[in-house]
Amino acid sequence: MGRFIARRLLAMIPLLFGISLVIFTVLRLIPGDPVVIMIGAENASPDEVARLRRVLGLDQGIHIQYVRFLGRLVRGDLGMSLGADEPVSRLIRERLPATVELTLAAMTVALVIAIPIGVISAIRKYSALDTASTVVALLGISMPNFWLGVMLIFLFALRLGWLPASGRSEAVSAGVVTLVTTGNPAILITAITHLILPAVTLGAALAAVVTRLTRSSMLEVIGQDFVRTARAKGLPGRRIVFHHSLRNALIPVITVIGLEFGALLGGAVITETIFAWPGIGRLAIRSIVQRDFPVVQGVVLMIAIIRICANLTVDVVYALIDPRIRYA
Amino acid sequence: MRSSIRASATLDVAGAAQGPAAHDSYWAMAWRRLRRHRVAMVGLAIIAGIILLAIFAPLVSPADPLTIDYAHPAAPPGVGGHLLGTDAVGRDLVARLIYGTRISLQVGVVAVGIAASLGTTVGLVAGYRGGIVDNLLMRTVDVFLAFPVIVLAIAIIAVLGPDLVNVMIAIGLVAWTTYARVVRGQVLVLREQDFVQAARAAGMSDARIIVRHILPNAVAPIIVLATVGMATAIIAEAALSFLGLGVQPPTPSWGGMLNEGRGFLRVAPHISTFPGLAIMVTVLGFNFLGDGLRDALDPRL
Repeated sequence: MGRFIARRLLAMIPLLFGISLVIFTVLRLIPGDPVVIMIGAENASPDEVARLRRVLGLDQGIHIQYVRFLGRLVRGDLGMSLGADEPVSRLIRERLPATVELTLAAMTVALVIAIPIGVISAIRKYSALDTASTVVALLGISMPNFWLGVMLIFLFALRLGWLPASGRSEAVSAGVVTLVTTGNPAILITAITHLILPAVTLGAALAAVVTRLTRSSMLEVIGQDFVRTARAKGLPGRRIVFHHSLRNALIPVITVIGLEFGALLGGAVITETIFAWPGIGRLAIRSIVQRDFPVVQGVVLMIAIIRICANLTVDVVYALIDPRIRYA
Repeated sequence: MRSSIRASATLDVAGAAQGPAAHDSYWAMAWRRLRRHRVAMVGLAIIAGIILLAIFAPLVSPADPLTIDYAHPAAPPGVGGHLLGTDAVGRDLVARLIYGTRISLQVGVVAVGIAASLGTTVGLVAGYRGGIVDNLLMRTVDVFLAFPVIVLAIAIIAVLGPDLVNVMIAIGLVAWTTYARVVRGQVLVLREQDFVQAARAAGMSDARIIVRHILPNAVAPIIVLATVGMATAIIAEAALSFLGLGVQPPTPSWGGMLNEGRGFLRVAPHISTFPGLAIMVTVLGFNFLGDGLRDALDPRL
């Protein structure tokens, strides 16, 4: 297992290399001189432009620029934001926890809804609940999440006034800490009320996909010999469902969750914009509008890295839950 | 590649044009299977309706999509002779929704065309050549797959600038990897088959073998991917326009309309509601048809 993880980590290196190359190239394709963008066309005297080009190393050949970029990258230096005059790495570090919180909450919402419904749909195939869940899931897959977000704001924030329309108060983890140390639940409750609508918006599509997949995967497992054997030897139904069937049925589900994690991060970009959620997605959109390219580069790189790590985690979890999978 | 997209809309015609009798029966059988697929037929009906709306927009639209009715800004459905009401500045929503079909379909077809031709070419070359070429191309695919679709599209838009053509290019450049993977998988199997070996033994050039013998046999999964890809592309365009990075106002794009309505959610929620429904119905149509085509054309997918 240790060797398997080590090998997978090694395989990440060429991938990361490729990713950095793509991002670097895309950034060099931007029309217009980055220096002029940086200091503004009205301040761009030829002397000043030339001086900045030297300072930034833009007077060097493109291959040298790339090597320097890589060198800074491995030291965790993503450059300076053009607008905010802050290191990109700090901007990302400040906002990453909010995105991670939102993504994990969305995933929790999706799984808590989807797996039970998928299992019940499979056990009670063609029941009213099965049909209803099929229809809702198909709508969920076809529904744009930004529209769902806007509709949820309209209904639960503007009409009913139950939940805040946007923003983030404190981190949920900070709320938990306060609750444990002082016994005061107020911060946790506010944090969660802010989190509910964005998490549902982001998690809905995943919930739809996982419901469908759990259902079909369960149906396949239930039809197999060892389940019939379990039934034949008189095991209670609950034990057959949870111990024999679900355990096996979840394997493809976990693969898809891993693959969808990247889509979830992409969806977070949009969800954060709708709900004014202070994460890296909103940072990315803002930076694009302001043409702050080092920040765009940093965020895109960060998201790609998180996604690769998620895929690796899935492979490891895979081996843990299914002893038949061996990584020699 | 264009021909296969057309083929997805009119399978029977494409089948008849394919030539040999054995081929004919495959497409005819697929079409029969598809016709029995009730969900796919619903999807096909939705898509046909939307295509008709796009073509005949000037004839069926009750108003011009850009004309402002100053007397009725943000009118709710039914007021001032506007069936679904007007948007915040007083433009007829039905008209804007109808003209919006043109943007969605245009983006879908062009983006899928770019993605399918690029991905198919890469897949054909990688699968047929094998070895280091295959390795290099597939590692490139891995790199592109590491980026979430919408994030990479946003990055490309950041470089190209937000407008209709660039949205098509961005979505196309992001979506090609699936085609490359699937086509490569097909080619790996086809390459070893007897008829390909025979063609090679007969001295046929590689290019001719790929185009005449391999590509026609790999077309079924491409059609399925392209159909589902239309749904993805339409959502992606709407998302980009929603973020202000896509089609620019006042051009009626469903995503852009949804975004314009956000500021008036409290007083006029219909402005955002209807474009979202339009997107959902259209996407549902392509997903339905894609499901049916998958069953009808290629049970392995």
